[in-house]
Amino acid sequence: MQLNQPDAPPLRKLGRVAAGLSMLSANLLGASAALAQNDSDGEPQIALMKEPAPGPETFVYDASVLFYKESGSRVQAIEPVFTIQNYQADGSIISGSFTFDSLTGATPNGATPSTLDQTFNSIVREKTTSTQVTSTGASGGGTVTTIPGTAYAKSTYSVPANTLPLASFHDHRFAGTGGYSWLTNPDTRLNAGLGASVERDYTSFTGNFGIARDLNQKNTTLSLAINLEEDISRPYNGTPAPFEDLNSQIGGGHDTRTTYGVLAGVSQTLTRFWITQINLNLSGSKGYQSDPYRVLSVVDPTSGGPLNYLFENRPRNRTRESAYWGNKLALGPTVADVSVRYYHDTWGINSLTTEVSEQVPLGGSVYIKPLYRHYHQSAANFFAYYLVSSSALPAFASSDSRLSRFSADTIGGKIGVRVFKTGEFYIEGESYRQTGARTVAGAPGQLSGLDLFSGVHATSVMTGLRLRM
Amino acid sequence: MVLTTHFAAMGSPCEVQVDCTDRAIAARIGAAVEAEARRIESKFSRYLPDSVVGQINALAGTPVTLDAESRLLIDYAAHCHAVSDGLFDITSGILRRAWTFDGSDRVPDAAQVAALLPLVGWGKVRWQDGVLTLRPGMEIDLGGIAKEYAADMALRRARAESDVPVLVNFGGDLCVSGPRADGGRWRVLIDAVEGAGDETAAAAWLEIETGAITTSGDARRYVERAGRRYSHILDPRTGMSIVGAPRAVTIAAPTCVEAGVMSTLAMLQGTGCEAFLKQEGVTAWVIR
Repeated sequence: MQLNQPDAPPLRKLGRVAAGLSMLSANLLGASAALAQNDSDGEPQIALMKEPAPGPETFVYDASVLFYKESGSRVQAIEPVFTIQNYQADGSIISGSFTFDSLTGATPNGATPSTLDQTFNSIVREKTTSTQVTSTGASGGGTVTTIPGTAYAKSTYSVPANTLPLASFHDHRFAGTGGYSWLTNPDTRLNAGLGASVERDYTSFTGNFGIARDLNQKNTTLSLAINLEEDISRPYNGTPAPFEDLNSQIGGGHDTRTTYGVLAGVSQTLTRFWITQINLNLSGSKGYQSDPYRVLSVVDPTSGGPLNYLFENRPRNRTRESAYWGNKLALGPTVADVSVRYYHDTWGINSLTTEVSEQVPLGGSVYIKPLYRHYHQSAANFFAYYLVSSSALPAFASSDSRLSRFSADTIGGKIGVRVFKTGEFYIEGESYRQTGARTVAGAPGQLSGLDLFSGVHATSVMTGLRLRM
Repeated sequence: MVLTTHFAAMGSPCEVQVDCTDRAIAARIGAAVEAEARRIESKFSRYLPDSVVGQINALAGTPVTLDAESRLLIDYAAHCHAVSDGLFDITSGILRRAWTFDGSDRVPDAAQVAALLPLVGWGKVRWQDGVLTLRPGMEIDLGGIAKEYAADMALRRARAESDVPVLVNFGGDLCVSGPRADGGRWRVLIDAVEGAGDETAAAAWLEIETGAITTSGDARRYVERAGRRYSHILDPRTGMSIVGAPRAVTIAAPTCVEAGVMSTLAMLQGTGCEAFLKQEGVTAWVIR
């Protein structure tokens, strides 16, 4: 059989479909040839998206477990988290998460170390002794003895010389959140959420409402959100009065704190390979902000030895401001995240966080994502490692290392593997190390030679499975 | 004198014919054409998980931003969908799951096809500003475009190397730079209507002077049941086999991409194939 092209070039009087195809094909090849000349080889074939959201009628499940451990027999935590998101056909998203934490270990009780053994006696309500957090001391055996004829018991634990005093604890936390997000028009998304977290001595409720609007063909997104939080603190031994002595019979019941926050953000696609985001956050909280188990040592002005221990006292108001600038950059096949955050609060803490991470595909369905984060903060203006008995009590004081001046470096990495076509299995590890001043200039007596810094070195590993179906 | 380079790419035997006596030029053109074929195969094959198409399919449900060349091809597919009133559809490949073209009489039932239809249809895809979002479970397949595009682009590469006459033939999708050096036609053997078993026409000689020629249809791929032949070409709007489709349609057009989509559309007309081609005024050969 033979197929011959007609001798004369065919008279191309084309129908609607053929004429359309003819024009489209010429355009395609012309444009492709122009591209080849412009040498677009360096351009990634698939670039990242501003909102990598799954399509409608999809469920996304994510189950993970976080293992967290601080060195020096401090806090250990195991935290399984389960989240579910349902993307509906009308663009709305229903989401929920559930967490159950188990925390054990020991945390600094706030007192300074001493060259002598130290004994901490606290008076606790007897009916609570079965759940008393400091029923055993981390650095020594602890006892609880009933004080006859009263509703109180005395809890005692000892800490050896030259050791940072720690109080052991064991707690569980249940937390859950639920959210709903919906479109009021194709460019405007509203979202609302509620959350609750329950520990034996602490309960927290949160609520938030936000609006996000896409402009400029979705290249710009403006968002505004408000959130509310109500915390209820129910310490086992009651809420101590400011600077109350550790040995006193505590009369206070529960106390509360209310926090209001507002967040404004703008996210902008600058090029197909660069998305930038700026968030401004302002929040104010009122109420009980102290740690009801944390004390300060009152030391002798000459020897530096502890005389007694007073519960800490923090201001009841705190206003926080922060500014965040984040960038997502597609560099060849890799995606880099670079961000910086500045924070300021009325307690005098200023901090700067810088973070760099880069997702690198390793071929096939595996990627790695190394991460580095540096954090530095100044001390709260009422931070003190200890109080001196000869000086008047300050208005506020706390020895919590999280309120001290310190730096922290985090090195981490994540490995993800695509599984079951739409799923991902991942393992993330992070090593976090705080560094701060270990000694205080002009510290009295023995304290000048002791390491006062109680910052942590923590390691965490998280492993999880994310499935989209 | 015609110097020919052979290689296999995109699941097909490929050849480049160069009408000259200089083996160095022929080798250079052959290498350029093969490189372009392999580049496009690795970028757009749905069988390769790292290709653009492989990634788009793996990320179905997630918006992905495409590079400029991929955008052009997806735009082309989208326009072909519009111009053909939905008949040409790069999301229809998923219907393969219901059909098994093994020459047996296994015909999928309506429920099987109906279950796949929610995942078929370009209208269910979001394609805006270079961002493509498939619904979860959907797939695209540039099978009807990519090989033809590769042939056209490879010919352009060849012409950039030298102005000697060249013919590119990627598995029956062929295009030429123009007439041969002596002003004559190219003569190519194509597997247009490879053995239905009972037919004598196993191949065809094809002559071409300018432009491109492509062929759709493959007699081996059918399902026969109760004396009725179900072709391998499926209507993306119903998921059902086209009744009365010819065994092969060969189209001549200025470019392979144009001829390729036209031949697919002609097959999809079924019994109306010849009338459609006549109405559209394209040069075509229909084998029934």
